[in-house]
Amino acid sequence: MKKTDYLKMIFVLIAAVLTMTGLYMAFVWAPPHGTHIFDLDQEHKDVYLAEPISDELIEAFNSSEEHINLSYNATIKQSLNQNGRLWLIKDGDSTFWIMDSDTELKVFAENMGDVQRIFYFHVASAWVAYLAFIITFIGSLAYLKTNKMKYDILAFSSAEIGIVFCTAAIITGGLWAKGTWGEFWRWEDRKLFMTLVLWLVFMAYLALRSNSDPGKARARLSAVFSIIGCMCIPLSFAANRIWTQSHPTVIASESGSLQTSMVFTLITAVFAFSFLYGAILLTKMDVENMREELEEIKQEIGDLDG
Amino acid sequence: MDDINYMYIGYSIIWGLTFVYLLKITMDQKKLAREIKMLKEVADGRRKTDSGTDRTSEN
Repeated sequence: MKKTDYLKMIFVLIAAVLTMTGLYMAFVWAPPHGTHIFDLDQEHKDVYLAEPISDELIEAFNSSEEHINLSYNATIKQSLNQNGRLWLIKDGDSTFWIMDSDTELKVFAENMGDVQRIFYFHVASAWVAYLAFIITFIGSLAYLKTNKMKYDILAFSSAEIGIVFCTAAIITGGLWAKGTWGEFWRWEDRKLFMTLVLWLVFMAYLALRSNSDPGKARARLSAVFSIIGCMCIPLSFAANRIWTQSHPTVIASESGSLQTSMVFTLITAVFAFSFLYGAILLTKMDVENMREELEEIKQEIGDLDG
Repeated sequence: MDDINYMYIGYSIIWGLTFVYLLKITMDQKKLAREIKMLKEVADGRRKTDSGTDRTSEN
């Protein structure tokens, strides 16, 4: 067995253990609903949970017509009563939150339901897609600098895996959106749009390669193409941070603070997919090296015949 | 459709795609190994034939 085979086995084992742990955490350990970002005791003293829920409160909620569409399952209505203007938030079937009108409305991922559990492996897929495209970028740069075919193989293998995970991220994101926003896609969301552009660019990269003859010319052309294509990565990653978008920003943002259990689940899923990516990359590179070897043997036979 | 169905569809797609892709590259690997082995034998055979021909022509 080669050295890379041992490495591949280690990666597969780690990925398997982490995936099982991640799935257990996502389905059992982490909370089924989205996170409440208001801390009732410390940060927002003017927000309180109405318990027990009175009939008057339910009536006030039901009779109130003005409401805010947050795109999430929680329903928020504005109501007037003897205390002034209040926000009434119906969280699921049994909980009411009451918030003073002056309180900044910061409701994120409020009670998304079970569809929220897609989040862990959706983010992990997107992370691996970005990682794979970055490796493609590095491989392409290294190829242009050194002219060694092993870097071209690295870049191509990584791009193909990136496409698989990017596809998974786009589809699962659409399913999450259907469950929470009520629609699969929002064209006005630049995050979604840039990710689609990134996917299309790398699909074009794969099409370009499959329609060119193997060799240095193809390697050079695809390296240049992928370097230009990789410009979409920062745009796709940062779109929801630069512009206010429907797509939630949950990492490195104040508005999307996650519960500790959710953070650990997400980290486990990200590591699981990163190791899986490592194992697939090594296998794919093996396949591409074998393809090169096959071409060389064919050429040798041709020379012998000639 | 219920939320939980979207969750199951999502997880099925993630693992389904990964599984199909892994299956594809594993099959490619096996097919290439078979072809390489076969062509190596062909190349060895040609080399032997060529060296035999060379010796005959030298004689």
